[in-house]
Amino acid sequence: MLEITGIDVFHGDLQAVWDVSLSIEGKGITTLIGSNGSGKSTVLSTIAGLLKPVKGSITFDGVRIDTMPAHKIVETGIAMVPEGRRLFREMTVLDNLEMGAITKRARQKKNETMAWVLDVFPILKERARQRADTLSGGEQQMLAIGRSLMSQPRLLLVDELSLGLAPVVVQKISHILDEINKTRGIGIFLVEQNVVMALELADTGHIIENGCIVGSGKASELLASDQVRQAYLGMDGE
Amino acid sequence: MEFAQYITYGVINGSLYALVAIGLALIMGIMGIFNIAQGSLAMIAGYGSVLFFQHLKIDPFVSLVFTLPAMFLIGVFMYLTMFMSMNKYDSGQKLRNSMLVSFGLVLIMETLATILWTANERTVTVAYSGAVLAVGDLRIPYTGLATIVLAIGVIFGLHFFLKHTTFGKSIWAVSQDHDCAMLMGVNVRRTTLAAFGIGVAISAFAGAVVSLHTVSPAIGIDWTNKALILIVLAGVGSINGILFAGLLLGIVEALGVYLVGVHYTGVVGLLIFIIVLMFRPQGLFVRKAGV
Repeated sequence: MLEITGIDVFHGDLQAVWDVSLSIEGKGITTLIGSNGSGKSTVLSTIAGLLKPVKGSITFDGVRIDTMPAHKIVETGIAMVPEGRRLFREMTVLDNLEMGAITKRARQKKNETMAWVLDVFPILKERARQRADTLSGGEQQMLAIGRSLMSQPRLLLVDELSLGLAPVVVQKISHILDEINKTRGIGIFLVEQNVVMALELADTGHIIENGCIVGSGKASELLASDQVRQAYLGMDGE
Repeated sequence: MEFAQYITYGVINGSLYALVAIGLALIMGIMGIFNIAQGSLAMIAGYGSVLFFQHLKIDPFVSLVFTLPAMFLIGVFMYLTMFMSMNKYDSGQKLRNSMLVSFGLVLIMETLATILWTANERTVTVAYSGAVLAVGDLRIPYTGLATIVLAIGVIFGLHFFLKHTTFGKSIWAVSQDHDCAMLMGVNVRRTTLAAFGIGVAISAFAGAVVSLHTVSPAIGIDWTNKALILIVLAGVGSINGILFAGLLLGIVEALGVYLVGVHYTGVVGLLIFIIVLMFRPQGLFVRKAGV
């Protein structure tokens, strides 16, 4: 579904991603794990179009998207839940959701999608008329996900789901993501520092270090592998 | 009763200040562009109103149908040629650069207006120019009444546009988080272009009213000065606060005239400017300091 071929990405003069190729299957949950500054968020921002690769290409269902501006990429069916939520703080919960459905395609089915999103996250219905910055961290993350779902994506990019959230909240939200994936068939590409959570949730995993992909495989196998256990879980290879 | 009459004039002047400042507030609050030329744009729009009246006998409030779109296009042109390229800078750099560029524009517009229309003061004298509405002993000029209605209408219209229409909300969203708005599918380039155009177009309203008073090439910077005082009073980013800031400045100036004399109008205005900067630098109508 999403095909990344040999991309190099820079932040200014600094190269953050080196010759990364990834293939993300349509229906499942894929994760890209790595430590802080490994380039994983850069990969995600490049898919969403906020950054442009200087080399390589990205195609989505055969359509080349790395040359499109970010607001056009949304229309092809890719939505991103940005790191740190990035809600429109001064707007109400409803307005935030409405902003998610700003594209022409999404606007036509806005009410339907809204009803579904409020069904998935009932707390947002209670908070509907509150300003986004009055929500708790977990509620804000739910709103950020809900807002991205409003664009009716086929692939949802999630950047650092667990950042700054209590473990029990992370568990709840990842459970909801799993449900969205299974019942709606929306593909999920999750970028995470919380390696255990990410690999438990995902079907497929990729490991990124210093801007290069250093390992790929079934998530369950990666979780059990020495490579992951030593580097990310602080365990010996026993 | 004389006192109430002074206050009335204060309210009328304050409404006009608000009309000039609102475009500046919109462009600064939403795009982080400091457009000092806003008063000069009102001056140019004022000449537009004068010319339409002189040559075609069109009332300044009617010629808004021409001056509004004309100012919008001038705004679009300004943004594309001068301000759009500043988006690559951080917000502080952008603010400084835009201030310098727009200060240059002030000089250019003033000189251009002098060349085109001489330095003489011009005024539109409509049939109702001297007419007043008498409420008891109070005399309210019809033009003043129109100014108040226009200021309230424009500010609440703008508020409604930003908070309750899809396009307005996109502009508002871009002002809060540029990149994230893009991720939602907002065409940020088109949206900021339109927002700048709207901010400049609003100066046509100010121009129409100004043409009923005095238009000359030099008034541009004076109006910008008033607008800057209003921005500080209201707080950067506050659009609704502008109206109240305008009324406050107008009334305080009127009190100054009543108590001290007409020569001290400017001093009184700058005095509250300094007081607010000293004790409440975030502005009077912003609930908490901006982030």
